[in-house]
Amino acid sequence: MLDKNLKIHRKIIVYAILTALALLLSLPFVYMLSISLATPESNAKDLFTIIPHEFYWKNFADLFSGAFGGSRPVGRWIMNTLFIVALSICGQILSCSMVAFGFARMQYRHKNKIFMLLLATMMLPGQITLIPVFVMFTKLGLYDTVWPLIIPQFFGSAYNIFFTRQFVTAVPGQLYEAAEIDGLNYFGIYRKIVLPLIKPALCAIAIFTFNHAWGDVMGPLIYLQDSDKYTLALGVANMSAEVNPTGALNMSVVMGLSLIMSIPQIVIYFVGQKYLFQLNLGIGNSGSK
Amino acid sequence: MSDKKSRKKVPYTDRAKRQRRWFFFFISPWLFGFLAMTLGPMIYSFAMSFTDWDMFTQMNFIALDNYKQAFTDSRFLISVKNTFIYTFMSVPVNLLLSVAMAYLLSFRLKGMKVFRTIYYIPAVVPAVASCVLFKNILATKGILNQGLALLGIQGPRWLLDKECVLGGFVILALWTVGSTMVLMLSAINSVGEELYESAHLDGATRFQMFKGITIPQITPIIFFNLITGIIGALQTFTQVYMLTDGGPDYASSMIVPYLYKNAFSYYRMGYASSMAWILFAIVMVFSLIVMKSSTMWVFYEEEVK
Repeated sequence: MLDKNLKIHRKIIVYAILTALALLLSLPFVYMLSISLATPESNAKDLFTIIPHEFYWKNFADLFSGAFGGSRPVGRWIMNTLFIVALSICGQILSCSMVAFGFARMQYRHKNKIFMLLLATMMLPGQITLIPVFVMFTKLGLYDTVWPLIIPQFFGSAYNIFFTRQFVTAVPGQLYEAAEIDGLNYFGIYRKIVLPLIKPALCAIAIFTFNHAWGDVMGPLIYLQDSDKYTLALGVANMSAEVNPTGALNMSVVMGLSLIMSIPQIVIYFVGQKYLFQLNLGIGNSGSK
Repeated sequence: MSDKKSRKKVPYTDRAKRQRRWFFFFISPWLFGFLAMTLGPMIYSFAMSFTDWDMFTQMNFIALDNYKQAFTDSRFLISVKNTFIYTFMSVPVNLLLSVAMAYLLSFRLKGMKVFRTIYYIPAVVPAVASCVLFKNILATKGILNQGLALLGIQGPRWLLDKECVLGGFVILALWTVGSTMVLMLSAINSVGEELYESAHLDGATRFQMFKGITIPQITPIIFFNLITGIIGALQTFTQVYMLTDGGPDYASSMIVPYLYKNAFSYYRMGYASSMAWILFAIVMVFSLIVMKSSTMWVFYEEEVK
């Protein structure tokens, strides 16, 4: 926009509003840090200041030594979550790229109808299939294991498939012809030509999948019972319900773990910005252009 | 039938057959998932919603009793009401705020990337963590009330107050406004410069340009965020589960948490399934209303030409 000629007093107003908003939105983070560093005495009084004035780092050490009581193996929860996250990412990348390639490049008379069906599944609230899928996994003997959280990821999600397909369609057709002349079959084309070219899309999918699997509460809540098998998100949810201001499991401990839990996602945001912005543009343009 | 006819007329070449086989090979992960995890369960869930199944004893067909019960169950009705109130409060405020913030960020001034990052970061914090945080922010002696006290206002007890608890949820939703805002921002940034330039030559003020150019040009994205926002808000779960568990006295009970309780605490699978289908109907009706209304206010480029 024509902002070079923006008058100075207007500039000041814009900056003032922007700064006020930035303060409002970032203060909760300062509060988070302040609470997680509060001493047991402050917890007992149930009064936290917004600016950290105590630095009780022992809260963080306690998290991993289990000093706050109960059967809460935090390190174990992190490993469980990472295991689920890693396999989920593999599953989504593998399935979405294959399915997207099929829809983008293979010919079949009813292909478009099937694709419409795929898009229609995005409209369906997950609660409809929640109970039958739960019953199915229970009958398969997979209740209280992590597999019900992992297996569905190997079937691809409609949203990710749709997103990847846009990238596969953009691969120039001459590349396929050249590959076919060289004697590659379709699987070879998928593996040797398409996969390397759609890496940015696959990175974006890895980020979406990480965010979902890392923070999901309902899935683990339904399927996991043994606290040894919990994910970090479920562990935090569980601890948060049992906070006792005067006990060993106080708000500072739970807040510290919430803080630890947020760090990977913030780091991934900074590292993955350029991939995520593709998505924003992807959606932004599909509507307005 | 018609398949056979057309096959006679245009016989499948070897290449077409091969292509078809490979097509099904490549889409097989999704196709299997669709049949086993979506279509099958959907049919099962629909059938189950007409039974009294509790996972342990025998399933009895009870026709429409679950649906009848839902419409007389005061706890379910209040959950529906709360879900609607929450949706009608959080979605519009979120849209307005995200457009306003995106508009400010679209000014070509220094430091905008820093502001964009600060506004977006709360949106990447996992829901569980932000719920733990807001449990404290909205506490009776939390920072929100400490801040209000500085302004001489006595804050309510938020999560413990029947009147204010949904308002507290809206405040939490507003903290994560960044995820909507970045979409609005990329839409505003892709509005053609030439539109503003010609309006500027015609002597339009900044506010006239915002109203006459920016807003109409980004209506497709507003529409997208409106639909996804409504669908998301109707399915609110984590906040209720973490912050209040539906309390005080069902003042913050919502559809999905109530459904979850019925299914996994009371094992009333049939009843919970019928709630899932009612929720599906609600989502459909809202989506259709928004889509129908979109012809009146969503502006597509082609209409100009």
